[in-house]
Amino acid sequence: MPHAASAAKFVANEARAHWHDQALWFVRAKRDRAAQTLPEWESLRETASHIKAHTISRLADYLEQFAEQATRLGAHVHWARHAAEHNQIVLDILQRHDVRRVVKSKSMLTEECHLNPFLERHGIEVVDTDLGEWIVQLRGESPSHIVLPAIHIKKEEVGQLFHERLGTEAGASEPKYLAEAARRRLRECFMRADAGITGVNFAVAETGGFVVCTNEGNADLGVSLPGLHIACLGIEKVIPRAKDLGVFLRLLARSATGQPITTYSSHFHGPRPGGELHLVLVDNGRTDILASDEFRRSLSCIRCGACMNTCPVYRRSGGHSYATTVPGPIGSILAPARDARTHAGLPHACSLCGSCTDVCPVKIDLHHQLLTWRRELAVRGLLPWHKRWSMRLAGFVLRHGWLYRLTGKLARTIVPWLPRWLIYHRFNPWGKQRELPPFPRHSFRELYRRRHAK
Amino acid sequence: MQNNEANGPEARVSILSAIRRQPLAAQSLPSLNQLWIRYDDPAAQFAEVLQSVGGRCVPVDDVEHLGRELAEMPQYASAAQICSLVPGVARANVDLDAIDDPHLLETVDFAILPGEFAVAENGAVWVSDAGMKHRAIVFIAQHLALVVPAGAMVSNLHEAYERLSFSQPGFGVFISGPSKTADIEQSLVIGAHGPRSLTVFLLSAGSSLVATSLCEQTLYVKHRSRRHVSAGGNLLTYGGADQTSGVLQRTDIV
Repeated sequence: MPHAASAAKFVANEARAHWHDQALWFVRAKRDRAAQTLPEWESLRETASHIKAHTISRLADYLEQFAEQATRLGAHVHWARHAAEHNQIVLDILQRHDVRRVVKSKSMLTEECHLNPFLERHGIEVVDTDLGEWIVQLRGESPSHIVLPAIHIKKEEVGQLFHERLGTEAGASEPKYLAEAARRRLRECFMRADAGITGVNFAVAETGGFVVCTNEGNADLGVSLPGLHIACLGIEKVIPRAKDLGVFLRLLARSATGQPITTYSSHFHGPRPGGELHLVLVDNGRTDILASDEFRRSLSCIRCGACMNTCPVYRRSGGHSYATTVPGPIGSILAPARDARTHAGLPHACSLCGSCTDVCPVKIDLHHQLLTWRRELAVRGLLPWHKRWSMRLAGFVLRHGWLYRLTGKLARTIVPWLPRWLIYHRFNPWGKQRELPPFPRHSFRELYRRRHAK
Repeated sequence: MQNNEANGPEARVSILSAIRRQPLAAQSLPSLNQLWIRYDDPAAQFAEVLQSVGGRCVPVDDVEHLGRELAEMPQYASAAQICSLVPGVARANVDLDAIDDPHLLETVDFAILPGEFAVAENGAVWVSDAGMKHRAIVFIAQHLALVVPAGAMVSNLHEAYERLSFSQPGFGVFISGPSKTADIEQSLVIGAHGPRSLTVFLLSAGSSLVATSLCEQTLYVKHRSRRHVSAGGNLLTYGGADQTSGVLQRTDIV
């Protein structure tokens, strides 16, 4: 279903759409307050942007350095060209260790690769331990936001879900009570798990270590009990030096949720004594993005979600309307890079207001890239017919001055007299929730000429 | 490295050569020697931020003072199982070193651990697993207290990384506040999976002395033997009433 159609469903429930919008705006406002506590905020963004640009310009070297250092520390490093390869590597490791139950902390990469259903098909139980992600997992959904996976769900719905699945009291919807019930059940999962899977926020080439950020402590609990830890990361997660973490950790949580830092920023260097650590480095389309001059900068993304929280379209259409693992402005750039035909609508789910670019902690020129995508889609012939023909028509009119003037004059004369049904109908989606402005009697050109004639 | 690769070297070679096919102009790496924020009173800033993220900062003069503060905490007073890696401050009865399986730590009510230094800008404390047999204790205990020498305080994260070295295998974590979640309608709930409370004790008396002796004592305690008792079906090790065991005896050192 195209984005516009899914979004139409979402906004049909006006009260809920408004609630969703406000919930995200609240997070955006917290981000602003957090950013304002640091006088060097803009300098931090600039520095982060340069570190990322530098890293991307030497990515192969840094990946090799990271792999070498990680191996030196005792980790096993694997490389996967695409999702299927990644999933197979993870499965092989788990099967070698006779793993039946896995606890997994939030990892958008494993979502992107659809690791959970793959492992489940092979008889391995996977429990997502981030509370929001667990809620969507229990509902059989995917996250609607990369940092706040259950932002689209109301507490009453969580209450009902937990009542059915965990036996909490019927009608109970107090977040503290529900979170406590989840804590108890997930503790059991942590205690039974044979292996822990985590994502990676930053991988440090210089040291071979990596950092995982959570507020709940679920990643740490998941990998400090069982002996086997598998960390999955996209190849764009590598940064050059440990001290660069200072820049990124100062930006990440402030941009994401307005916290000064996440509760836990865990630095893993090598396996636990007696344990085993595997790192799976995944390409899955990233080298294709790297090859494109226009969209390369989107690889700088640190997945904070700030562009989603601020986006007027995302806030009013919900993450699921994008039908991608990463929704919102950054998702609308990454998804068409993977499959332009399927996601051709996403670069148009944007008003080009530029708010995403203003908040991006690594200064990705998001709205420029979205505009570039629109041109790219037109070049590839992937625009829907009505957009293709209306653009062609508009182009023709604008190329011929006399025709433009004539069209304007006709419109000013005729449209005000037309019956409503001829203006507001299904071929004019613009008029769905909007009224045309009153037509002026004269064009600017006519007014200008008249004034100068005096 | 090769022998770790399940799919042979093809994937690695193919990914790296796909990257190298792009003739990208080298971009310089920016310097991090910039004017980052510094605080006139880092300890006050630290305490304020820690409170804002749900933690509590308690400055203490010495270990005795720390003990009194602990005793006043209801979470501590009601704790049945206490694990401490800070010698002399607690009625510890769970010995990390005598436990082989970290799952047995699930019943620990209160853990008291050394923190290496604190970061004023974000209320975080650096905790490493050096001398800590099971890092699970940091995350599995119901309540956590960290003891940090008051002098070990930096203003911002850049200064924090100046202090850290990652040349050896190991684990370290910045902890800022208790475990929390806001995943249900953005309502903040303290105590998601990890500790339900975090108290940071800033220990001032002869702080540099304290800093070094904390490490020494951790090592010292590691070598003491403890008697084993069985508690609630779990095999745990208790220093318990036997006052000759390591932890409780070390009070005199600090």
